[in-house]
Amino acid sequence: MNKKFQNAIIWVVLLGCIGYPSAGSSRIKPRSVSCVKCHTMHNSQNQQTISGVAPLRFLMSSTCVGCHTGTNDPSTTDELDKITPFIYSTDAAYLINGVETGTNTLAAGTFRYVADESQVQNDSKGHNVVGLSTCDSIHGMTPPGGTSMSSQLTCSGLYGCHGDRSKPDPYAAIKFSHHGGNDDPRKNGGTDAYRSYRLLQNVAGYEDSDWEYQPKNDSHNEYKGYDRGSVSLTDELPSPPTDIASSISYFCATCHGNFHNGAGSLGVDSNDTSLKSPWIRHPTDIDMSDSGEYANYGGTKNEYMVTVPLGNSDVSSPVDTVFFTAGDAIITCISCHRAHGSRYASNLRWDNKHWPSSGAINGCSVCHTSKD
Amino acid sequence: MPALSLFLVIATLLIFSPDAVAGNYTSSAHGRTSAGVKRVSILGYDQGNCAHCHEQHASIRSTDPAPPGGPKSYTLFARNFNDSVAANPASYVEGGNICFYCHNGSTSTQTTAFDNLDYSKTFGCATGGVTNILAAFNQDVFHDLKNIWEFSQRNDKNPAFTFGKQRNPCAVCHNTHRAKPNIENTSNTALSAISLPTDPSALYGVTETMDMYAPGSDYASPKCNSYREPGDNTSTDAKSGKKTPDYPGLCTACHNVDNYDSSPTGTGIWSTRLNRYLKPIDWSAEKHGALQFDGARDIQFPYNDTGYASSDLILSCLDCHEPHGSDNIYLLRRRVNGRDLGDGSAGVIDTCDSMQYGFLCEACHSGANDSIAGYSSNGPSWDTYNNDTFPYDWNAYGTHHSTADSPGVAGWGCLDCHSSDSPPVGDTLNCNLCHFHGASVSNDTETRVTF
Repeated sequence: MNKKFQNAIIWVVLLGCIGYPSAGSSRIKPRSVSCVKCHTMHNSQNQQTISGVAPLRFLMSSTCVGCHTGTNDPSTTDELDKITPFIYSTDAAYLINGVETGTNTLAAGTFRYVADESQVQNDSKGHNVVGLSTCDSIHGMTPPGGTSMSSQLTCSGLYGCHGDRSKPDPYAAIKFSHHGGNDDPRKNGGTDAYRSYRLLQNVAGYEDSDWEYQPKNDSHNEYKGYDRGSVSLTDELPSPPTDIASSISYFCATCHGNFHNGAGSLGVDSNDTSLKSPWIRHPTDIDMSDSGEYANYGGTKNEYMVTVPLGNSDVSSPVDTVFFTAGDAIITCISCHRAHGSRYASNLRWDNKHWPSSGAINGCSVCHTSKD
Repeated sequence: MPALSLFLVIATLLIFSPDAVAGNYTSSAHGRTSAGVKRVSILGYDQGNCAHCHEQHASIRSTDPAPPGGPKSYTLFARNFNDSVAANPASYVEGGNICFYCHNGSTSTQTTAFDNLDYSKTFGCATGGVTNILAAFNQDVFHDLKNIWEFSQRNDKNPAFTFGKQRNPCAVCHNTHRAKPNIENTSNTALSAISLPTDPSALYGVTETMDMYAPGSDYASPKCNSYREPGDNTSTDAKSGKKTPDYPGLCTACHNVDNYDSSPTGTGIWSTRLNRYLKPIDWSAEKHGALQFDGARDIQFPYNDTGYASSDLILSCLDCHEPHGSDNIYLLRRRVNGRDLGDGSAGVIDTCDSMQYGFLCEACHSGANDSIAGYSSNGPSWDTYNNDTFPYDWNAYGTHHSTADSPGVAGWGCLDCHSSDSPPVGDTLNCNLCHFHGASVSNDTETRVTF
């Protein structure tokens, strides 16, 4: 795409952005919201900069964090707030497990706690993203289970999660993603970020219409899982775009590899030829199957538990119960962790450290039901 | 009213206390907030928290907390069981079994050291003895963990066993997520620490108690000090076995008639130390078990107690044996039926082929002339007449010569038991010649079960 054509597209889109969007999409539909909500022509208004800093690429009026800072409120009438999932605010309410009435954080949690650097232990309460917090005091730029990066984590791009991760520039990496026009909540994990779940390029999934604002068992994201139970350890894990590489856990492992798909004994004990118990690290992308203690996940009705969500090989729609079909109860990284952050160490969804004295839910026993 | 208020306060505390609503794990010995697992090197996690034993990513904050060693099966902090560790006395170490990291007394990796006492002391009123599980297994005689592990792995031979590879042999009898601290109330079977290998997900012995073991027979719990086991209990329930788990039911899950040397199914239990397969034990066919006794008996309290409905009393395995280890052969207890075995000092039963074995037998059996006083450093009292001279006073020779149907008076000749020496001076007979699991003896006219 030459530069003239590229610029033409930008102007067409900018001039055409009029109207109101529908909540829930990660994409801004053409003519759904005013261009000025996101872009500024001169980064100047009344002798003040719009972005608060130097002009940003693609005429953006704010950074990722700037736009996505706020309070999630389903009753809002603000045209932009209605379509913006807020991932950070200094008073975000992550009450207990981030799903209760009164909670206003979303599926990935909140950066509120990791951004609060008044206490060093907050370092582990979320991903340490540029613009929100400094590098983790212990990990630095080396993600746990992975290899050192040469830059601190960013929202998108080469050192980030969203958009095209081949591009070092975070803005270039996310370019067009918000304008992709793909409102289908079923994302196939294609090679374009806008066709992928939550702009996570290559990841499949079903997007909940309100990004899991106080989710219920019949109203939630459906995370892509891939049961690796029959995968030989000697097989190389295929690269995207493939079904196995479209799982959310595979995506996490692109940085935290040893926790998911490291070679040989990194995943299971030596002398094993396939991924199976006994595990030496907690497995992901493995179907719990309707057996043993796992058969009691979600109680007698096997209800989908938003507190400890499972992945599914089929993400065409959210399920309200599991164990109906093979591959619908797959352990994922985000079964336990919030991708952005939570109020708990290791971005965990629940207060693991203070269990059992807290008397609160122990996420472990949601699956390991005989160990309550 | 004050009493009512106090009741309401207590009831409220109970209802809302974590233990009152605890699940299987959180009410277990390992999962309790008050005294559960708490590894020294794991900071900031509640007592009883999973992280004290399991490291989900083989690390916490990119560090492998002590003890080091990298990722291990079942996400445990150390190797579950190392089957390459040779089974010799005093050979068990922490690195061979993850349980020993905590159950090892003062060097425990548990934040607060704790004691695990042997059965003789916990339930049988003994004093002294080992104070932790590692020490128990490092005694002269021990339940060979490798042999247990090997046996438990043979799922093809034992389809009822569900132990995967790299499981811990301790798990054959103990469910680490459910076992309760029976030491805290030895008379409360709800605090059972054991599970059946055929049903490891459930606690065993809570309702399966010795009073129910054999219909038609009664269990008489042994003496402890002044009263009965467990723990010198004075209750009627303790006397009848309601306070004692059905240990034969547990032990015979492995030690049964199917698992022996020449078993057709080849499921014998190999003993490294004995260098042979174990012999079959059929507790239903032994007189100490459910088999009806015949003839007369010279027995001591409580087995001569006429207060039981049945005159056929049975024993529990742990009335005589330790489960983990002992300095006595065959894992024999230090104290049986209210008596410390041995010579009262450093004595142990280190061979069955001597009068030492009689220390055990005489804890319950006695002849007409036996007495507690005769139980001394000289050995069992039926040995005290060895140097009698002809003509012998049969009645003075106790059980084997005076009881109505004993060998000495019931058609058995001297030479059925003794050598041809006349008189059989010094020809003392060791108990194990005739009495051991599965034993019977015969002469020209009869065969008698002798155990």
